[in-house]
Amino acid sequence: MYRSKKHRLGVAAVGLSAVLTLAACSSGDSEDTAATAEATEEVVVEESAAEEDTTQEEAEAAEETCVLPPGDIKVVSIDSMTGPAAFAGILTEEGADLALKEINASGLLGDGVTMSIELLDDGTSGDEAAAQFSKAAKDPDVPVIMGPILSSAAVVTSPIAEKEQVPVIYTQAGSPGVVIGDYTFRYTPSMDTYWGSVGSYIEEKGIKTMSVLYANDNATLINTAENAVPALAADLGFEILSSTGLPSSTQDFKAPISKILKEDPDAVAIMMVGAQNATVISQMRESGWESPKELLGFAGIENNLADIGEAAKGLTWASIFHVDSPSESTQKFVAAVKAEYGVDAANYHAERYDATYLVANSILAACSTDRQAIRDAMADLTNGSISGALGDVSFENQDARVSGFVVQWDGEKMVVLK
Amino acid sequence: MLEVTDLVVRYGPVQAVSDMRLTAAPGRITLVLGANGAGKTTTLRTICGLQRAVSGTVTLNGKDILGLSPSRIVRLGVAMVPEGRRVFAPLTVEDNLRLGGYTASRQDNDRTMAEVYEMFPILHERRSGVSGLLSGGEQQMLAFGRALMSQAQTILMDEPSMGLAPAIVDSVLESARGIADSGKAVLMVEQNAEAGLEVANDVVVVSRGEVVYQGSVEGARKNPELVRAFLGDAALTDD
Amino acid sequence: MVQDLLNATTLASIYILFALGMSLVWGTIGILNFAHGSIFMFSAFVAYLVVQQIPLGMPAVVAIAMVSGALIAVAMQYLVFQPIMKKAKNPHAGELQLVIGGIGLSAIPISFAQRSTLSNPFGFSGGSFETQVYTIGGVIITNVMIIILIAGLGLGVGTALWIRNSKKGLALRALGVDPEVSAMMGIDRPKLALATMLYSGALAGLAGALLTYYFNSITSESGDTLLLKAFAVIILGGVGSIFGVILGSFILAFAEFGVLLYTDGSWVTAVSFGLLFLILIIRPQGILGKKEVRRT
Repeated sequence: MYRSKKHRLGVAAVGLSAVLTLAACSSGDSEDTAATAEATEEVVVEESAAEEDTTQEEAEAAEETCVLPPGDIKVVSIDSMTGPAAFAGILTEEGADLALKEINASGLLGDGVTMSIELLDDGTSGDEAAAQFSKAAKDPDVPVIMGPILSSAAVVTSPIAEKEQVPVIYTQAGSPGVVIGDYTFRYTPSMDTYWGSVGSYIEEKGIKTMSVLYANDNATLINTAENAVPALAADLGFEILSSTGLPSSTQDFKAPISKILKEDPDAVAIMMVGAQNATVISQMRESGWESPKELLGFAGIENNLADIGEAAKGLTWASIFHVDSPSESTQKFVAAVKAEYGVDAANYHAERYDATYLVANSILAACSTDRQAIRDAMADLTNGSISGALGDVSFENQDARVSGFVVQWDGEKMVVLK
Repeated sequence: MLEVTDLVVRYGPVQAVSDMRLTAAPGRITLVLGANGAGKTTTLRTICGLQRAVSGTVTLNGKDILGLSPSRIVRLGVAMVPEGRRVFAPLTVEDNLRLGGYTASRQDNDRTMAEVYEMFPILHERRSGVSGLLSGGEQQMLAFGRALMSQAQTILMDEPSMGLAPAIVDSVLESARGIADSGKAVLMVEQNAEAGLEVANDVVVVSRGEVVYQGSVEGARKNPELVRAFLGDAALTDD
Repeated sequence: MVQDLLNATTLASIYILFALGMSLVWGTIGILNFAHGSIFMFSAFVAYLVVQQIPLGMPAVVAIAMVSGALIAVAMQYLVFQPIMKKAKNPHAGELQLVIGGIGLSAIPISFAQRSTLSNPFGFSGGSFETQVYTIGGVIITNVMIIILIAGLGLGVGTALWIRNSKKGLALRALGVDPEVSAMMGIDRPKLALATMLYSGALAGLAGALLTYYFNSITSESGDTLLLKAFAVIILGGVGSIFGVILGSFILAFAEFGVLLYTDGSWVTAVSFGLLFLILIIRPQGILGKKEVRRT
């Protein structure tokens, strides 16, 4: 060490900065998908497009009159199939594949017309996704793009889509700055628009005071903690005692918990990233946080609770997708996913399944693979409410809106309350 | 008895040592002289296993040691006093000596440490101090002591007078003489020919990697060409 | 207050467990191992895979993680670090190559775990161990905390004393100062380097298992987060000083804890790395590191 301390520190600095960069990438991107939405009450699984569904009249009408030239219509999907967000990307593409299989089997687009997806893996890298998007947007043969699921990528690709005038439909990518104009659509409602659906539970339990713990480097969670929670507080008249933003690299939560215990709120809202949620909840329990004190979560937190099981029992939040929805159409969708993949449908499946149908129906309604025509058709279709795998989805400025329902962790899994 | 014959060492395409031969015998100091880049240090480093040779032999009491690892060679009885002393500066004097005796038994260490302290009382005085704070001459004594601790019978010394004040050079080389007189074989590389010849028994003169003279100090002094080219005026005036 | 001190001390023990092996390897055999975090993570991951199949208790899980960590570290040393050091033209070029090699190496287990878990958190819930909570005079402590405190402080002080007083410890310190002269002293560097990596890997495995118990679940990236903390700890305490690791861990843990306790949390990263830069400016050798001393 004495021989060359300065040099060694220099060498160390090189390595350190590399690791900082890696850490920044992984923490910055993965949580968006982990933290963002999930959904559905009603799903319509349409083997033959829109036969029964009254909301898809336009598509049905188009199908009767429109004859697309036979061949394969190839759209591009940019997704995270490897890297930290792969867990979401893989399920997302499964949803798309299921929809494609149905669309092509039913001949939705007409005789001899099929649709396929050219899948590009961004490796959970925002830069890579932006480069791939830019290339696809400049290729006139690409009629429509299914956008990256990373918020950090989407905020870069949306301006490109507007400039190149290519319609893009996102799922996930829940941060502000993604749906910005005529050509950008999003099928995942952003969490801040439905987090407040937990309000009925808050009222029922008579919660008067709340402390909030959130990841301060995740756009979706920041937006929810800093906007949706105070809005609900103003609405229902409960008091926010403190709102603590912590970096998503935090591993030990004993200090913020100690602070919150001194404030003694009725409920604590937890909006951390990945394993952090399990750690916070178990450390809260170890510190004696038990009923009637309440724990509130957020959509997606169920993916982080497997390792603490019982400790998370009673954690409550608003969700927009659940496999146990009583809706017949949800059950059909869930059954289709189960038959195809042997797993329970996840929100990622449902969102992209619906988005893929929207793309097909837009092509059909436009009766063209022209970008402008598809965009206009998509804007038309999203003008009203669409019934799909996510239930009844309405759109506000081309951005999906769904009313959530209250779910709770029963110690093993999440269940719908009432 | 350490014997080097026909030793060839290359750094890539550069031949650093060619056909080196020399001998170091118990009780004697063999002095290797030659200009910078003559291959003297490379020879010592090769003997103690820090450098690979292309060809040649290095034997210690008849046993081939060329190509063995440095730690093996120390155990066989060859210790090195490196150029620039290279004491473990942040460690104490005593820790440096203990490291010298890393391969030796506890009894040998205790005994030899007492001998070293007797030979260099200043080291005893400073034994708990950080060795990097010793003066250059004291560090050289420590480097000698460290080599002795290994119980090696052959001691290689690379430029022991380098960087020392002229007043101290003589006492350091006297110490080297003392080590040889105690029965060790000393192989010394020294830029300071004048001072080195004072204490040496045998001389090996190298030029461009090759041996141009090998023999006694007296013999060297009687060779006018050698004296003019390599040994300097000191050799003459001394004779 | 006592509760907060206890919690902060537990956090410090966690930092010690993680940083100890990394500091030892860096300060003695000169390898700044940027793959230490991934050894940590992957050891816990291996234990997790086993626990998914067999509901083992804590001792078995810890043993599996330690053996995995030791094996991974030894494999890294044998297959990557040692060849790099052998081939390096000079020690400085070698150091940079080791750092880059470590960063590259760390990507392999991380990607593997990410793929296997689909980047979801993992933990030992499949095992038979249950966290017990004890309340002693109003202070809450769990059995996991007790084990972490004993392991962290015990191994920290034990290793520091061993390095300071034993013959092998002296040899390791010598290697940290001058590997070549150490070889002249008869110190077998490759053998000691392998043993040091083995110890460091086992420590990383121990830290991986205990932290997973403490935090209940970790992710594929958890090791990288700790790597940065460990880096701060080692620089704070002084490279090459094991007592420095203990001191640095306490300073970082208490600073972070204090910041989180008295602010809204956004400053925590700034404070811990601010400390790091402060030390680098006013005392680059670290608090317990020795200044370069040499008279010639």
